[in-house]
Amino acid sequence: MSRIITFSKALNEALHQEMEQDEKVFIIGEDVAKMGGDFGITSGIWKRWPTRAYDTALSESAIVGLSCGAAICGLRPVAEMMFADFIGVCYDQVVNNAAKLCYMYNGQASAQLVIRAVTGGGIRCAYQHSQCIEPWLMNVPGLVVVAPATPYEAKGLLVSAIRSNNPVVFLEHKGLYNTKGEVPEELYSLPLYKANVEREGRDITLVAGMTMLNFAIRAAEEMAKEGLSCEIINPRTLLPMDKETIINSVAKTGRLVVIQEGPKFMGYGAEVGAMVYEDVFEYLKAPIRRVTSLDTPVPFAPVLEDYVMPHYSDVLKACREVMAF
Amino acid sequence: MTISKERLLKVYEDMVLIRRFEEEVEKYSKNGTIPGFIHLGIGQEATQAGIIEVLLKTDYKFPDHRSHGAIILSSLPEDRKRIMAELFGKKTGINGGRGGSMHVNDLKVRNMGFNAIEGSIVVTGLGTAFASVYNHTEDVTAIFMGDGTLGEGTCHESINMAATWKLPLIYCLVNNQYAISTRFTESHPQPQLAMWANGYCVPNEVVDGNDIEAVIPAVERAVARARAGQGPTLIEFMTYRWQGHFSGDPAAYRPEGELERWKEKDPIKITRGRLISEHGVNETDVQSIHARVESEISGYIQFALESPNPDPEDAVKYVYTDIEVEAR
Amino acid sequence: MTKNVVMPRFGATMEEGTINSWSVKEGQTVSKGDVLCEIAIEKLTNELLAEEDGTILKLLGEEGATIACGEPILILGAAGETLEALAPVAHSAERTPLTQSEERDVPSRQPSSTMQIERAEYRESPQITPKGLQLAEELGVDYHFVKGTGRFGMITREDILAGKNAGLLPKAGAKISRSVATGETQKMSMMLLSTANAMDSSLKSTAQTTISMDLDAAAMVRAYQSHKDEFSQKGIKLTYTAILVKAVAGALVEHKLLRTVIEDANLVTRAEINIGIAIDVADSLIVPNIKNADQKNMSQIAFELEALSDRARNKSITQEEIAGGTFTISNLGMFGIKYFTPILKPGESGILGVGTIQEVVQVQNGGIFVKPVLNLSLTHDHRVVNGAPCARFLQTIQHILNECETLFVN
Repeated sequence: MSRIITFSKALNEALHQEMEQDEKVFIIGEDVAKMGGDFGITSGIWKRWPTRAYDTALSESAIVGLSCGAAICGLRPVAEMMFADFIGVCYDQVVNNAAKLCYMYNGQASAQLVIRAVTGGGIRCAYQHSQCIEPWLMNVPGLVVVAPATPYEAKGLLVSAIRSNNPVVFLEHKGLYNTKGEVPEELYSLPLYKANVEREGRDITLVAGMTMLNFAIRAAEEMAKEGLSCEIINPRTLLPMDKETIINSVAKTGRLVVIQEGPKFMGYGAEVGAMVYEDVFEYLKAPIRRVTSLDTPVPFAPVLEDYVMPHYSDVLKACREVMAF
Repeated sequence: MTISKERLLKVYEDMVLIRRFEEEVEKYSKNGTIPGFIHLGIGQEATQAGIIEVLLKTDYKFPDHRSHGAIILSSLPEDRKRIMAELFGKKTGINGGRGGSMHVNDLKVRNMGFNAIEGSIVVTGLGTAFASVYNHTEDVTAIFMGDGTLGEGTCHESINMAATWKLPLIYCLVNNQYAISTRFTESHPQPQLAMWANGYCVPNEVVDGNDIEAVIPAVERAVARARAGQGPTLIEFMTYRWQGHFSGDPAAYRPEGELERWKEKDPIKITRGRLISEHGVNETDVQSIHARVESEISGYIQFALESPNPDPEDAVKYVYTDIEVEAR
Repeated sequence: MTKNVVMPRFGATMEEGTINSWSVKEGQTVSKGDVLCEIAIEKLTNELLAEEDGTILKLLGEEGATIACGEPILILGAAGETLEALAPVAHSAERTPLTQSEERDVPSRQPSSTMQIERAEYRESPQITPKGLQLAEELGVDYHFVKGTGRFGMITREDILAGKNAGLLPKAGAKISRSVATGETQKMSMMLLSTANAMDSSLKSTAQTTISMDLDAAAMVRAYQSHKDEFSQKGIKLTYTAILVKAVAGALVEHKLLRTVIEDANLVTRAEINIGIAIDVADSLIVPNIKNADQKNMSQIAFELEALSDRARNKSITQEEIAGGTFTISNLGMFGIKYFTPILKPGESGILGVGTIQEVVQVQNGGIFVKPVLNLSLTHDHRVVNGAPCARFLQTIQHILNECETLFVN
């Protein structure tokens, strides 16, 4: 039975249902227990399981470090980074500890934890509350980085993340929290490491995740009026990325437009481009295009922030450019 | 509380084992056989042997980079040669040669290993202590840290959380006076580092780290508190390292005479003296301990030298639990 | 595996269509070609037909709903599949990665020739990568014959290079145009393709050249005239070709080089003298052969020749009859052709082109005579046999035919 709920509610449901299933799962973070989280994602959990929900001091390193130690002992922590930007504070614990635990322990133990990180801009909270952090993480072997785009994905992927034995940074774009979509009531999971072909097409491949998926869908509809069909690939898991689905699609269409929030330089669009050039260059009919934020920190005033964030019109422009090549 | 003769003999042998292990490691590091960095704990044997002596196999131990001794003693006897092989980077090493000196771990004996970022294990240790509470076990967690480590923010985050939640932790603050070339008095305001714990309402004591008969009771007290659910304790062990920070460091930053003064407080010499004078152990028995250790150590070296190198392709294993990474 | 059926675009300006009525129900099995629904666009209605067999899993629009082109209107599953059996679906069917290629295959037929050519079936509009196309154009490779090994069966640069190296592909003549402006485009039959390939292959792999001679045909003509009725009474049609077959077969006994070929840097001389006859059938060429022609008498040869011609014309020639030729004779004399340069049949080193019989004026010993002369054009593989031995071969034929009457002795 599906019904329409918000992205936030879908996440909350995933947590509740998975915690019902597995007593090794606990939540930890700042204000996650009694308050139910700054964004309400963990609401109701502390009431049901007071010994499985922990409010901490402002100690990101301790949160992640503790999660690593607990994971080695067989528990399944779900830690929260109130804002993904804060991962800088505990970056060492994420990349030098969690990411490498399985490797350091020769596979005898692993960092089976989830760090839910609230990511993305558009809410006028500026520099240190608005970043898309996935590039900081994607160059670290051992990490898994997941980024749902819809409520349906949010629940299914969070369940998989919790069940995964690898350390997962689960990126929740704050701009998606209030979006609505159909979500089954029952517990279900969606596979990690698999991209989703949101829409099939023959002329252009659009790679877009999180809030940018919406841009891609709108652009595809716009392009359809011009007689062009766009194929939309939503990576869902950013690391390890489903390379095969993406390059296969580009081999078919011969044209690629990546739409990603965050700076262009070394954004994940660069990796997608490199993968395509390396493996399916000869199938290309046009150079790739990336639609991204500008390479700046995120400013506060709405006109400034809007200027920096990706523009929908740039998506159409990119599509037309690749068609005209 | 006094230590019985049997126990003292045992820990004496433990300390001699550490000493000889470190001396051989120094030799093989200097001649290029052991790759990479080595940090020797010669002079700190009593601290390491004493702590391990008190902890159970089921307690979680986080040794740091200068704790070969703690690692050796907490391993199963048959695995000790594999620790040497690990330092040599061999396939038979306890971690397959993948980690080396700074990253030895062995979950069988709950040696949680070291993450080479200073202060990292201080927060990971929170997790094992937390798990004991969550899983309702009596296992305690001992974290080795140094005067240098104490600068890291993670130490403050850790003790803050451990104290608030009364986690079963023992902070073993091994104060060997120097963090590479920086004396602890130059980087911390407290004249005695144990005082730092007062800010977090954590019981603490200062102990002569070279007197094993002082080390053991202090650790026992802390462990008892932890098992009883009374929360963390910090013990500052005053000691000294005879070598530089890493093997090859001439340690010119030390004032004249300091090393000599500390060598007079050699933990092994002290205990040997007591065994003979206070416990009636005769010289021959002591010699036989040394001989036993000697043959053990040469066994480790032999094993390490003769062991093969790891298969290069092993480098791509265990990045993820469920995905293969492409080899060459 | 589910598939979305979308609102189709009937015509370039259509943006949306209205589902007038559904002709199927959820759970119904459909076959390719069945009507799924009626779609109205402004004043026109069109039927939407199923493009493949399957089960209707879900109808995504009600009757009367207007849906944009490209939007899904129903979910099709594999035959027998049900919606419950699938993972839960929220807004659209979960897509599975594409595995189907889009190549259109020409149904494969057995080639009717004996030659082993490794080339792909001809494909009318094969998919080729942009760089593959660029390379094909640069190298002059006709990619319609190239097997594609890339994703979705597309032809890649590597495939083009492989085809070029194998040397099996005809050069593209004019650029292959994608749309036909004027003139006629007709797909070549397998037979035509085989022949085309054979010609190309022959020219490419041998050093063939032609020498010619005017054969004094007087004796032959006399023999023909004197025996044709007798043969006709036996129900056999006697022809000059048959006589030539016998003469050539005889000459080949002695002239081994004309029945020698190169195989893997060896000179292989054929023992059997099987004379092939080029027979013009419809617009193609069939070359069956008369086995061991040197050992057969004239009646047998004439009889067989006639039979083979008939069978060739009604397309009942067998593989066995076409295989194993040693030497070929091609007679264009009936068309008034004098000299021509026949092309060697692949696997042979000599082919004798026979021209028309003409009456010519010859000077002999100072006297003027009218003689029948038959033009012979011998194409030979210069790698195996030089001009002089070929000339001698022709002279032998002349000698044999000078005693043409003896050919009729059993």
